[in-house]
Amino acid sequence: MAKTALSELRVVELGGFIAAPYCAKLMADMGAEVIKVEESGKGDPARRYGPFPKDDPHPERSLLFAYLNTNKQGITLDVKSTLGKKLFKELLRDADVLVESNPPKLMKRLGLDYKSLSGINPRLIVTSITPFGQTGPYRDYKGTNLISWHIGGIGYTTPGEVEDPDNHPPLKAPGHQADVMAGITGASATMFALMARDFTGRGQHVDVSEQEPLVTAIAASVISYTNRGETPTRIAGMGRGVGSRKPVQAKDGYYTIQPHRSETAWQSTVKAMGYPEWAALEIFKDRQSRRENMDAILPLIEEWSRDYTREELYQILQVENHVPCLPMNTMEEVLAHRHYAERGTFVEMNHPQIGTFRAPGPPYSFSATPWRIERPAPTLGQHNKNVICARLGYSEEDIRATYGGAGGEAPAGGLGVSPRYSIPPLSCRRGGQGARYVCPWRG
Amino acid sequence: MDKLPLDGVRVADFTQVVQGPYATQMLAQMGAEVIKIETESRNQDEARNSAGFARLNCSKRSMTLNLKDPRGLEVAKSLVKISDIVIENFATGVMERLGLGYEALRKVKPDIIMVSSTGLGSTGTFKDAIALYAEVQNFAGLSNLTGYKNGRPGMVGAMWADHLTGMLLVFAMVTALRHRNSTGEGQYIQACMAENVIAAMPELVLDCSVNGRDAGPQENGDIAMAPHGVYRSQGFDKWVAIAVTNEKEWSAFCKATGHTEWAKDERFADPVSRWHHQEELDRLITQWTLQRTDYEAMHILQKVGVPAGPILDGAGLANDPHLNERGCYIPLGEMEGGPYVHVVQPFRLSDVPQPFYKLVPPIGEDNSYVLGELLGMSEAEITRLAKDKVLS
Repeated sequence: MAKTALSELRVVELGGFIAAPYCAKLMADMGAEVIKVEESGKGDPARRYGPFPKDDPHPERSLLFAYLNTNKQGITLDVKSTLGKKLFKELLRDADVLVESNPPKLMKRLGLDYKSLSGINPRLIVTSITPFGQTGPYRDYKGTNLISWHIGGIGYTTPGEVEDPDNHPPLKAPGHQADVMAGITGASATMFALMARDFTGRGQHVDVSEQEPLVTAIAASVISYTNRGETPTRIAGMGRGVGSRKPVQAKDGYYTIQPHRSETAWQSTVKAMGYPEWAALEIFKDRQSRRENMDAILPLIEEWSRDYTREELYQILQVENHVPCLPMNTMEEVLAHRHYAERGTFVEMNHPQIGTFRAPGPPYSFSATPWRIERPAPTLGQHNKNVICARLGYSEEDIRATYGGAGGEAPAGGLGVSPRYSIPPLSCRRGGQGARYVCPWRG
Repeated sequence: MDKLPLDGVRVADFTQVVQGPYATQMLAQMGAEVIKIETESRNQDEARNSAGFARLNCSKRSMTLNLKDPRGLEVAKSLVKISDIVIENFATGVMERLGLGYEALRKVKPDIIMVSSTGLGSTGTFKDAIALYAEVQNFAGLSNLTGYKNGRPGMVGAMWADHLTGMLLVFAMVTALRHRNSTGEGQYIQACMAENVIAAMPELVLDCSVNGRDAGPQENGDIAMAPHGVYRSQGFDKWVAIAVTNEKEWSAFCKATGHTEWAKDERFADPVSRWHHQEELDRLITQWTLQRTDYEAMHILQKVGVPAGPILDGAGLANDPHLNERGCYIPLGEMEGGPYVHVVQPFRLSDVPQPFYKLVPPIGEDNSYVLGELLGMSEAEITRLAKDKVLS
């Protein structure tokens, strides 16, 4: 077993879909013991959300779930039931961190708010990742990745400046990157709380609002307004813009280029193109005029670059003339790219129900305590026996006697040893076959 | 608590532009002593005196050092000797060429934690490519999934790759620090912005690696939810985002908008059918949203439990009551002849009510502190270094 950086850390996760699982995943991948708590019969919403292999929905074959929950152990508990809550609290007694993403009101109602949990274990750090955080007027408002992304301010600047605003709305980033960023932020903040605990011996409540990591990232726009009263606009020609990197066409796809960035960038670009006549035009004479006439420059460059592939352009512009230029790869190209292959960017993951699949590997390399894959994502309730018996000290007879049911199965609302899915997954892509299902991704 | 979480931690910060400075600013605000190593030629750059520079470099110390001078390198090594973390984001190989690579630095300080972060990584065919956020997002496949259907690719805003990587580096650095504290072992962390971007969209990677599907531009849609999008509201270029995630929310949505007939319409009767008819549905919803401001629409829908929110620009964010009440902004003096309002770290710690916020220092402000107090040089020595342009 490889040496890991967080092997001493015990984490419990009570929160589904992406943000909280991503947060706990970062810790699990560095060696923390993460026990993921899912609701009996339902499981994490990510189990019902694709992509699924061949678009065939199955709660144990969600690729998103498999990726986000690798290296974790999974148990089923209904924390709304007396029994489930009791076991959950016992689990927290010797845990270091609880990562959760439930509505603040719900946690309070269940008696699982920070204050109550701190009473059970004063060293416990509770990391709450919610759409709007624990305070402020919107704290009880609901959110999703889409809402967070846009109310966080980056949507306004994506995909860049537009000419026809009515028909070109602000866009979200592909996938669920507001959720992901909230997870990363939660993990970073949790590490600070752990460092603080080394001083004080006590835990604390870490409050992450999904909106805020986006606001911090777009702080330049906020500051532009508070400092100069000027808000960068996404509408082309209406004032100082939000920034734009217009794609330029090559023979086999697109790339971007910024010849107006500096005098050197311009000279190098002109040289790379073999000193075309238009480059000497008065309207391109200095940095200021080039900036103003970018819309004229790019089509002229495009006329030239259409004859070259993106790799040829990389050679001519970047390698020979130091002009930043890289191909816009499609996802297929990314997966097949020699650069990523040489680096080992993608790894093979094995999952008993999915088989082997290629997934993104470590986002960083640690020389002494590497990122590693220890176990596949848990099937629903897979580690019930391990955790409830081995960790909490109940015998199998206890489980049967207390929670009833033959063969260790428990009634709904208690402890489920084997999974019973009450809500099957859904795939809209299968032409309506999912029609009888009620719930896309949330209970 | 009286102390901050990273009290007693010192960071030698060689980073520039966005990702590195963003990461070290988080450490500085949490109490680490971050010493930003700069060169004076950059002082002439008006960018250093801008609010844009300040937002990434508050709470740090600044020292100037000429790394092309052998004595400058010696000072750098002395600083590393009394630091816990060294972080840099030069092009691949620059630190090694300066004699400040990990192998050299661990000889100076065996338990040092060193972080190198580059656009495309330090290995692989493209390791030497100049790659800022735009090139990184292009090369990682992000741009091709951004943009409008049937249009050209687009760019995710806010120098996204930088901020994503910066926040990951924070996690990585504190993780390594904890490991060192318990084992005495330092290490070398290498990050690659493009790989961080790839790992932030796993579902799109997996759909392609397993199903061979290249999803194309995503716009504001979802693979299972409808309605799920942004809708024009009252006013010029104003929009509200709405996401209906389940049947309970769908019926609440129809009631709150006064369109109970939508719930009965067979095109919209169940999630799959709604998903297949989302364009018609979106047209109908826009007729409702256009009659309201973005904030009105949010409050009406949120009151009945439907996720919704306005699309905010810079002014919208600065004025948003929620962000203000949560203390996201704090005034820190003046920059460029106007007030400088700092956007704080995106998390709150209940036991750390007052993180460390201090306006960005003038370049080289802490030269005497670092050389004199920390490294024990005499005033005469410092003056000589300054005169010989070692501190420039």
